[in-house]
Amino acid sequence: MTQEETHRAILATIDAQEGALLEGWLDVQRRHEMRPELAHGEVVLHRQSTAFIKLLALALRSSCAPEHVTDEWRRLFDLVSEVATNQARGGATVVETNAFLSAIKRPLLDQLATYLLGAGEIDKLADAGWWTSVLIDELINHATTTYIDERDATIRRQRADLAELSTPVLHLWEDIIVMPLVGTLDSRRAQGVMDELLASVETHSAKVAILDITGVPTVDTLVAQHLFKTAAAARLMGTECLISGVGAQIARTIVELGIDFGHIPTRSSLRAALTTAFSLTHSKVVRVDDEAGS
Amino acid sequence: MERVAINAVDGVLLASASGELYDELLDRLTVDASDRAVAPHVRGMVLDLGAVQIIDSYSLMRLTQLSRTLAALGVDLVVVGIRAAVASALVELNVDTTRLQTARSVESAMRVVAP
Repeated sequence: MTQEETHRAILATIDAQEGALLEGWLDVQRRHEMRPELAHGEVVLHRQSTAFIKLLALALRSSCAPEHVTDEWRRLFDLVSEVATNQARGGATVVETNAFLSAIKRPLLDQLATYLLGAGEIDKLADAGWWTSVLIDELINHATTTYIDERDATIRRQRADLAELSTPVLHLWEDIIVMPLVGTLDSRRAQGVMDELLASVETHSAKVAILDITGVPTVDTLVAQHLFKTAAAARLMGTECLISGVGAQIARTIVELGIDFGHIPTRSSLRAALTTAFSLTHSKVVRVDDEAGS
Repeated sequence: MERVAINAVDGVLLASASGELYDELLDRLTVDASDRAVAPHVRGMVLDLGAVQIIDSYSLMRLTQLSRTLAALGVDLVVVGIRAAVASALVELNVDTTRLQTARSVESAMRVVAP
């Protein structure tokens, strides 16, 4: 039995036993151990499964030849995409997403066997089974691809969100501005950070700019380079740049990587940097009672 | 030929360049500034680059040279007003920018050269 003949047999099976096929499929799906937050409920399950069988029948009726892709086949693949996209957005794993399609294999083969038995072609079951498997696998592959595309899109969206995370510049004190950096600094984001800081340096004409990296998980050579450039550019504009929030782990990493912060003063805490900034701006903060000499 | 005018205020030479720092302009500025710097009572020079749209690695080197020339005459050069866009473009060129003394405004530069 060829692929095309199998497709014809599947179509005949659906025509003859659509109800039984649907019931069998729903049964398998109901027995799946789904995490409660992913469970769709009977209505959605029923609607999705019915729509799939209807579209599969339409697609097969339009063309049983695998090389001839009709609009009906595209509609079927679109439905698979839609289901996979919804699953990916709902946080399902790829296995959970594909469970929908894997579940149809057994009931479809059962009904196909019944049909072939009735048609006196039960000897062709092995071939028909193989080609059925190929068809379902192709649909599963499509679902997987869609799932991955959707996940990639989510990652891209989140990356864009992260890049747009406002990097506020705080005018902390007379002549002192602070830019607290949070999250991973990739090249694109580091460029944004630099532009933002330099723009603030220009508007506030600050004497000291503190780049606080407490919220930056790792500092590699590239991040260090970006920090250097930012500090060098700020210095060209006449503003002294300090880097604060350098933790012990980052300090060790910096040395291990052979990064030299050279003439850019670094401090472990914002507090320490602020003390340095005060001395650079010739400012002093004193306790009121000290001042009073009590 | 266009040249950068240099004024003296309280022993400080004040100059302000604009547009592009092309070679002849920098040549002329170096000659004029060093000629003026030998006068008695000159303590420093403040060069305002606020209206300069672009500084490339060559002009940066020439500015560093001017700074060293004036230093040889006992005069400090402080550069002010470099725009954010100019500064960020300049650091991308991986040139040594540390040898140029800078300040954020003419006012603070004056305090540096004539405390």
